[in-house]
Amino acid sequence: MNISGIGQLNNSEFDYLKEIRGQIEQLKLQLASGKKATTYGKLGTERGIVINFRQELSQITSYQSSIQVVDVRLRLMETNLKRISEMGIEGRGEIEPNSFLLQENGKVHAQVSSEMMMKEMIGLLNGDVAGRQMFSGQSVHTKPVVSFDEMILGANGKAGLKTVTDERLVADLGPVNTAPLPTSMGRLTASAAGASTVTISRGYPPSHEFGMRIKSISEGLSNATLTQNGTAGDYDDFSIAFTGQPTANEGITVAFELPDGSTATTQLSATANSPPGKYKFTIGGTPTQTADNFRTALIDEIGSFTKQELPAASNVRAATDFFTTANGTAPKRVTGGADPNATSLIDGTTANTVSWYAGDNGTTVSSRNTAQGRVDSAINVNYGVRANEKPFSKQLAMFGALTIQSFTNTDDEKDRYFELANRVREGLFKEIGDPNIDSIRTELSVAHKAANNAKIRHTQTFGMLEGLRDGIEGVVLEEVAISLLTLQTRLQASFLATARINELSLANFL
Amino acid sequence: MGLSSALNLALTGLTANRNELELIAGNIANADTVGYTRKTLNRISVDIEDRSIGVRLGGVQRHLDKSIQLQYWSELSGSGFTGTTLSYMERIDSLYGQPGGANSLDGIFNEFNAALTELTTSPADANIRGKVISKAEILAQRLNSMSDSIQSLRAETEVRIAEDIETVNNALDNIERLNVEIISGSAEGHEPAALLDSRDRYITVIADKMDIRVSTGQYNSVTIITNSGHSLFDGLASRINFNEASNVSAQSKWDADPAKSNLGTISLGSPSGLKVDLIANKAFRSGEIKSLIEMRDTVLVEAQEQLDELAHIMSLALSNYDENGTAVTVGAQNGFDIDLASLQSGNPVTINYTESGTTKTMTLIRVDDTTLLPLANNDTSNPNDTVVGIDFSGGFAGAVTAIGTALGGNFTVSNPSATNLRVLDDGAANLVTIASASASITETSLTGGRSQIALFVDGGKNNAAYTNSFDGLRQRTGFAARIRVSPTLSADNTRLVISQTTPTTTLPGDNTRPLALVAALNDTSFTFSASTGLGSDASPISGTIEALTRRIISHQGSRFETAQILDKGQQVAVNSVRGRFEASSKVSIDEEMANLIRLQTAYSANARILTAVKEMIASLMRA
Repeated sequence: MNISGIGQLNNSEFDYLKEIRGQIEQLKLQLASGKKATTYGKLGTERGIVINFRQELSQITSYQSSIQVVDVRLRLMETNLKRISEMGIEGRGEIEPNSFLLQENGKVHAQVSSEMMMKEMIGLLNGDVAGRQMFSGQSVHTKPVVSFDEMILGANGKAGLKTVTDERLVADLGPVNTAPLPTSMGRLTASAAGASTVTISRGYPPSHEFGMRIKSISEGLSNATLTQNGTAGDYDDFSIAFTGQPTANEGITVAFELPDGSTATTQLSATANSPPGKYKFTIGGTPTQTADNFRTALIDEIGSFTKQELPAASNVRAATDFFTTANGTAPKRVTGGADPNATSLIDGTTANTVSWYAGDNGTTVSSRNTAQGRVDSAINVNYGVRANEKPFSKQLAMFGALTIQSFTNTDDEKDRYFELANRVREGLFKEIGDPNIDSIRTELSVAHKAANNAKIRHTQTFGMLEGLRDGIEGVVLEEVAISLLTLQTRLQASFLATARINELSLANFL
Repeated sequence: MGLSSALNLALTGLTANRNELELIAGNIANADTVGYTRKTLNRISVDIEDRSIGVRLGGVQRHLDKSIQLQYWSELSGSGFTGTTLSYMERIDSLYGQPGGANSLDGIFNEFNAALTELTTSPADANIRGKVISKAEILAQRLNSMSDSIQSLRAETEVRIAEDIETVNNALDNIERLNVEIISGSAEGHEPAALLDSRDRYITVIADKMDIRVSTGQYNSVTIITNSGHSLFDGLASRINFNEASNVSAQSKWDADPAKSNLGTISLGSPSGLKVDLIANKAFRSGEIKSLIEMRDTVLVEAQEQLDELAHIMSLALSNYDENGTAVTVGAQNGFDIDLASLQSGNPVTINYTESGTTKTMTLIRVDDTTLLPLANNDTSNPNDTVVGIDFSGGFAGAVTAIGTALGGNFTVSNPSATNLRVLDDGAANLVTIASASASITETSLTGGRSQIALFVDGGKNNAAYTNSFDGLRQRTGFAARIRVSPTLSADNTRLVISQTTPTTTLPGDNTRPLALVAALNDTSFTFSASTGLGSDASPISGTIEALTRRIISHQGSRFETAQILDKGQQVAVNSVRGRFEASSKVSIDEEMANLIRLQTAYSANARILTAVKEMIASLMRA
């Protein structure tokens, strides 16, 4: 500690030289590193602010990396969703109900395109970003949608769409009525011939799921009495009692509700002609004969429904039930399999029915919340999508319902195609007020916008904070250089002076 | 007056000149010797009646200003204190890393935090989960290594105190020896200048180590006492003892009670056999030793406490959940039922109530080992609570009884079922009303179905969860040295996301847990223990973990800065005093040279007289 002077140099001078030397070392370090200090202690009182800045900068960096990840994902999702949305529009164009040109395999051209679009849609919904499934909710490692073949044909003892649809059709058509014409009655029964009253009733129990429902009857016949039992709009049965003869051209309108909620209406009017022709019944000799004629005409109409409208409606309904699995619900199928007397639907189990959607199907977290990106301290953008959300399942159901059918070249089949294609085409339209693919896209683009806004904000804040931080931590090179020069000059002068003074010793002159 | 007397006069002059020349040679030779003071000779004329018959040499005289020397010693202990403090503060400061550097404490914490934030966006990404774990590991390792550094600095202070004490003892022994010689020399009438120099040098050595007051007595004897009034030397040297501890860890604490202390203490044994504990008596007011003691017992302890607090808060923030009591009414009494099945040792049960209009908080802490009981109110950082340690080692029923005793007669405490605690107020009497009852419980399972997770564990307890236990040793003390990332978690990082496996397994894309962890780290406010030196027991500081990190670094940084300013000031003071002291005592070559010329001339003059006398005698003989 005690260095008592070197020659005639006293300690204070010595310390002073040491200090200048130390300052030069410090400046040299600053020049090399560009930083004012090597420790927080040497940084001065602003160290607390710098730590704060750094913390914010680090947070912003992590938000920015989140935003980048979210951005990539949202871009892919938007690309895929845009295509899926376009497919709905394309489908509506391609599926032309009036164009019934059968190919060799019993398929109409529109079915071929719907199959292709279905496959494409499956591919798009299975799209992933770096191994992360985007349409699988929180089950990000699971492909959300099974393959086309498994979906349609089933696998490992599990029924696919085809089986489920066929079973439903059997249940909807009901037992085959043999008299007077061998036809299905869509689960309706008609009273026996030879009575002045004609009764049409739903099979037992009247509340069962399947076939046609009696929606409304309006009767304009003279000398006839209409009796309806059951709930308005869904009657258990109705009867027309012919107490006398109707006048020609008086008519009766019967509306049936089909499984998909559509309505099949028939209007039968009385005529004096025999045979009566389509949509007419002959006024017979007695009211009972007239009733029989009316009965035959009605059964004929119902029979025609069961070949055209009913199968189409049944197919659409079956496909909708099969594909509707959102919010943890299971696909619905006919209890007891292909049973014409089936009365109810049952949840398909994972053992007996294909779950076309394999992703996260939780009920506690909403679909959008299944993926979150933290883009700012208080902002989470939600961009999760589940492939079984209604807009997707509906579009798939429509394509599926059309794709799996085959047709033969008859007038009934042509009409059946017309009915089915028409329903599918309708189903591909957006329903007002219902969530559709474009509304999902809108939600995602709002999230995307929020993320991008945050990004812009972060870039600005980052630049500002970085500037402030550098102002505190960094050195101005010019300033350091000037200080260094000044110190160098001063040190040189001191050395020179010290050397000169030391020379001035009496000892040198003796 | 004859020729012979002239001859004699010239001879004595020659002798005196020769002796003085010797002294000048000595001065020049020792110009740079530490503690050497310039010496001159006193010449005394030998007179008979009114005539001089020769010159005789008086004693050697030292040139120094005694009052400046005393001031110098006093400033020296000051600079010993500030210099040592600065050197330690600089080393502590450097522990926190370079601002913005990869190894800075805040930078490492920020990276861990940022990785967790990324995890909320990509919970299923194995790379990001791995990143979270590795950033957490780096953070834990950084805390470990910083703690190790702090403890090795403490161990170093212990060694240095021992060395300093040895030096002081050695100096005192020498002073005792020299003092005897100086007294006997001075009593004979001449000043033993070299011995005095030597003794001053030893005093200087002591003055650097501790603050002393030196007073000079008869025959140049000295007494040395500390500024606090403890006699170090009074003819006989006192002996200073230091029982150096061989092992220094975060748990090592100095205590005035030797039975509790596991660090060395400095005791002074006076020759009369009196023994005084100098640390307990706060006898060191300055000097290197004071600085070392302050480092060992305060500054470094606080630095460790700060890291421990950081580790403690970070662990508990991630692992503890609140078990809130459910309101229950029995007759006229209202209160709460609270399930304590999972309460870990160290976990608190907090009961808020009003008593005669005053809001009060009772914190009951589970303790399985009664060594540390009773607990003090500052064992929690909440300044407004009453802390009671509840012994759970005798089973739940015993603990319930202890809780009843702690709460007092106004409460009814019972155990309605297995591990349920029921606390009821006094009903109709209405002296007390219970506002809430809750427990903060450490989640020990990685898949317990909760968002909380014991990400950090205690490496000193077989990687068991950190519960802030008070069993035997306080778990918080030195936790920063033992904090680890749960090895089960780093072996299977999916657990950062998967919070339960039964009845259903958390989906890989579920970010509930990462979000909760981020919120716990960033949005939760904690109250910091006053043992960290931040805030006080009565008004503690609170803030987020990030704020704690910032405060720790700022605190140490500003301490360094203060030490630097103090030392700079002290160096200026000591240099100026030393300059003045040296100006009075230092050998000036010019002056010595001038003296040399003077002596040379005087010598030739004396020689000339001899020659003249010789010639005169010769001419007398020839005549």
